[in-house]
Amino acid sequence: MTSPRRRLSSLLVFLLALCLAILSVSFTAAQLTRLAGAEPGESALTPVRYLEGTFERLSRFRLSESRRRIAYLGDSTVFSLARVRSLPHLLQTALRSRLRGRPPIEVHSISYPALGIISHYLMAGRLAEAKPDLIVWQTSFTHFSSIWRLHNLHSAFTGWVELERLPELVGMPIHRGGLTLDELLLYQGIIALDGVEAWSVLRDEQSRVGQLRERVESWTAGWSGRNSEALFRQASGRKLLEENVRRNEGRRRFTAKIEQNRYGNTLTGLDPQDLVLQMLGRALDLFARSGIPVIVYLNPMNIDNLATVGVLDEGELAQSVALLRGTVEAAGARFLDLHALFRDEYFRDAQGHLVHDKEINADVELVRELIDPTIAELKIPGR
Amino acid sequence: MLFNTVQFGVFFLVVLGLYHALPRKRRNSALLAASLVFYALWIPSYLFLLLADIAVNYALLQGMIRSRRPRLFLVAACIFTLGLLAFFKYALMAVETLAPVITSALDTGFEAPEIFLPLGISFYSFQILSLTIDTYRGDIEPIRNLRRYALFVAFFPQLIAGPILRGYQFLPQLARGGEPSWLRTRRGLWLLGLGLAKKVIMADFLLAPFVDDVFSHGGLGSAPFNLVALYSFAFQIYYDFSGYTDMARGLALLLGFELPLNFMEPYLARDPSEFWRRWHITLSRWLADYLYIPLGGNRRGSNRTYVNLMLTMLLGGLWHGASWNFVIWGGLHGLLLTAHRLIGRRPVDLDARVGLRDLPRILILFNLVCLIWTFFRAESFDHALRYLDTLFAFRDPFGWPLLQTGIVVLCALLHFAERGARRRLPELQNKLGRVWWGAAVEGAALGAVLGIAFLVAGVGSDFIYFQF
Repeated sequence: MTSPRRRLSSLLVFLLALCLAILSVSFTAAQLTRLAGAEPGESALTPVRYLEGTFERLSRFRLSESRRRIAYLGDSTVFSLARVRSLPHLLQTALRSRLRGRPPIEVHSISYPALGIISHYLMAGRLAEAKPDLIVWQTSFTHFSSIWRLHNLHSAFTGWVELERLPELVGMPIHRGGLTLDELLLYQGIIALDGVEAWSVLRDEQSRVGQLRERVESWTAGWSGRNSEALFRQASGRKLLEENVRRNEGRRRFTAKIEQNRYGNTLTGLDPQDLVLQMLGRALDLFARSGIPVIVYLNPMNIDNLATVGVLDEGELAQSVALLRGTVEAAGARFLDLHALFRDEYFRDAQGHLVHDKEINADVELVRELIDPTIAELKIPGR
Repeated sequence: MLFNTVQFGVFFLVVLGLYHALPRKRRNSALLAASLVFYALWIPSYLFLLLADIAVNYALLQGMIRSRRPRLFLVAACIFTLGLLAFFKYALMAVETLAPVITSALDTGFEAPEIFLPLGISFYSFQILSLTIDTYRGDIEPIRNLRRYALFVAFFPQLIAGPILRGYQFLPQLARGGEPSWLRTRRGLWLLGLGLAKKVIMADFLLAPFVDDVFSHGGLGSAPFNLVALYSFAFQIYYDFSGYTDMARGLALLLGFELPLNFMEPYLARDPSEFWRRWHITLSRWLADYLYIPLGGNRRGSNRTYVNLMLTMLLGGLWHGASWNFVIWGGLHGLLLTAHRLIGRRPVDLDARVGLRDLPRILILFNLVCLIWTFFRAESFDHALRYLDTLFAFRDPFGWPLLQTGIVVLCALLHFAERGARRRLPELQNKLGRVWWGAAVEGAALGAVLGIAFLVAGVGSDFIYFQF
């Protein structure tokens, strides 16, 4: 039997060696990933950090009465890497042109790929705090599907939920949105402890390791003369598309099963108790209380394809649209139903991104639908 | 809350601190409270389901203990527990199977309801049933303490994915209370570290990305990729699940409790019966004790034995999830076990040395088990068939995935090394415990593993067995 003193000293030595080894090994491994040239990849924090900058810009001119600031909320159909093609930029250009620069209009994009109603609900408090003159909110029936709810990374936005809104959030069946209480507490804790920077650094290092695999694959390819794994990924991507999508006049379109998965129960009649609908309603109530006018529009859907693959029941779809409209209008916001705005040829891909080429400028046409309601909601004197 | 997350680390440190600060007689209550909080942090409303399950089953158990007709209470407990399990786990499967009929009958679109499986229901339901049946059989002392009963069911280190505990293993420990010691703490930390490494380094970082890639494109047409992905999945599911179990056992040791082994290098098994004595041992034991043997086991002639084996394995497959693929997976294992019995080989000693002459049998069984894993991993029956078709078509448009082949070889070597480590580690720890620098060596070695695990943890995903 060892004495208590010996046990305690052993424990201390053990813990000291443990901590030193963790620090030195993780530091060395992190340096090795840098030497290998692995760049940080996407992590749950990427959209958070991207939007931090937008919120900062949105808040900066809060007190400037001459400017009108519009926050444009949406997913990848709104966002574009080429900013000039993004819907917020097109809306800004169109508004400036129509109003001839008076008052100056800024449209800030609160959009990012895979963001949806849940993510925007989670950041509603920050939006209300930034107090834009108007919110234009793109919603899509895809945001209601289980694939979107459960597999998109919106958990990091739970850190942006203010303490006073937490009971409301916890009172909802958040597991249906892929959120759990422990994640909520984690991100709240990180914010409360002012650990955002440290957490970001850690996530960056971790995502860098995620990229290391491809570097090692290229090295092994040097021995065999070809990178089999990269070849497989490229070919399999093509093959998957060919397998899963139906060719329709040269465009890639989804099959019935995938469309049903994408739109979930909105095709068969949305449930009034739906979590996403609840979150939309709660966020709109918050904006109404903060005196921010909101335009909510329902994104165009490829109705032609839904009909072709046999999953379109117009009655049931109309029921879902009516429910969405009811929720929006009950909160005092304006609703625009654009779900049947475009025919098949207006959609660039199966995911519903819009075409912009010499013949069809679907995004410009969509923005045209928004201009009059936007000007009306901005309540510009003399107009 | 996953064990490989920061939030669980914080949660456990708080629980451990409080546990050690409290007087011994208060510790079980603290653990029960922590277990319920742990469960509520996932879907709070399902905590009420767990509590209801515990309350009803405890009431039925007390009724059984006091009644002159205990069988009635036993049947009621089985119906209640299995009914709840069936509702949450298999109602959706039934609805989805019937959906085409409903759709054509109603002439309308039909969307199956979204039912979230309560975390760990398959595991804790089996635990509740085993306690009830063992009490009925008189195999264990009847339990008359609700707090202890609730902790037996809800003990957080093993609540959501086992090991499936039995009354005789855990109730005496709960009655004594946790007995943490320096030796248990060291063993616990090692198990925790190795389990974490198995999960985040092996399963999530080295194996899962390739498996996901290939299985999502199963019909592509490359035999080498499908083969290596199948081997990779075999090791992925092993490291994922055994990593979880190691962590569970490690956490329990830190609290002063011993949980049973759940895995013993299953891919070194030489025959199917040995495989099931090495893979998910607590489930295999449960199925044997409460299904196979009550059905008659091997006591009622050869034909009945084969039927019993098939039934047990089919139900074992169905236990894993509401999908026909799992049933097929179980059925194929049943066929393997039946074929093994037909050949007439005797079970081998688990501790017998694995020699070179065992290698052919190990390799044959490993490959058969891998082929059967196809049905476990594939999204559908069609997908599995397509995957196997590609595998046996021997088409090779891309060459061999060299890096992943190397990883599979590493996994195989580690599997052998694990066997040696399991046998020799306690002895090595004893030796290190006798010298002053032993603690530093142990700490540094474990720290190195944790350091790498920490860095690759961001690649992580859920534990595969959490869905069951």
